[in-house]
Amino acid sequence: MKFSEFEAETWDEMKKFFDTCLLPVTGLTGSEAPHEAAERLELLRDVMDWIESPFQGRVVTYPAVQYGGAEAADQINRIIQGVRQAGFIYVIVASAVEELNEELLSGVNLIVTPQRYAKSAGQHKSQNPAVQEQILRLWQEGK
Amino acid sequence: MSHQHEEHESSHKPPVRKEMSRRQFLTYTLGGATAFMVAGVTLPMVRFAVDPILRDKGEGAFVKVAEVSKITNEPQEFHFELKQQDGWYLSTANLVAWIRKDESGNIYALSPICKHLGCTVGWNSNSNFPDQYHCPCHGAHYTKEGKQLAVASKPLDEYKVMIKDDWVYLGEIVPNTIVS
Repeated sequence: MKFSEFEAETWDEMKKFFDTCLLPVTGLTGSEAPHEAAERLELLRDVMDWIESPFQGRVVTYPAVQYGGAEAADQINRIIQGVRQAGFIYVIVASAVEELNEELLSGVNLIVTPQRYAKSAGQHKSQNPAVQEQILRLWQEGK
Repeated sequence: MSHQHEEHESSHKPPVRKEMSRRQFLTYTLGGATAFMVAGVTLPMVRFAVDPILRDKGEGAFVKVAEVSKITNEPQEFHFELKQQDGWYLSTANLVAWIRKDESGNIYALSPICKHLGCTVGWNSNSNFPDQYHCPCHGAHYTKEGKQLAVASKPLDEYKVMIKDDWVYLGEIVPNTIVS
């Protein structure tokens, strides 16, 4: 579910079911033409679908980091820390920025990018079995 | 599986624009940038409940999904698309249904949306729960008729089914009638 779908009055009761945060990183630089910005957002949307669609009852999508890619790693790491302080156990970064990796984002549990999981994308656009498998493994193994 | 658009009989169709709806714009500005073309299967459930364009139809909108000859006793997953109109804007919902026929030969189709918190269940997807639908999020599981066995408090919803010319057509999502 998206962060905007929760209400203050019910979050305390609901949060025990939502232990995973999805943090989108768009990777815009500001130099994109309008249609290029839209294309990047669409690409990110497709990646997020792989995660949100099957697991919407356990994953909370937070607002995206729209600008900055690998050079914004420090900022992203601070956000990941903040998200964990907010109570999330698992943090997944979905990004159209292929340069983001586990070395740059030390606190993340999983990074999902189009290129990393392109081969396993299912026949149906919103499904990616390999991504689902990774997330399930994360929850089962607790890492 | 095939994709079939509903035939609109009305002669007063509003013009269709493929532009960003208000919902999509809010999603972008809130930083969601996600599924702005419709969020999986949950949105159609809302749409069928509240969309006056769809509700005005006598039987509701039905989409051609599968050949009757392909349906077996074993639930099978079918993907299909539903075009929806949100005021001026056209969007596409990607839907999934698990279709099977029971021992009497009646065909029914279940929605894979877990009735706990909306994750997607799979058929025979967990070896600890053979011949059941299982939800990977919090462990809810259901019988092949969709009856809830744990965690969820309601059975899986059904799609309305219409059989026509040896094809299975699916309509709006309704509460389960098989087990309740």
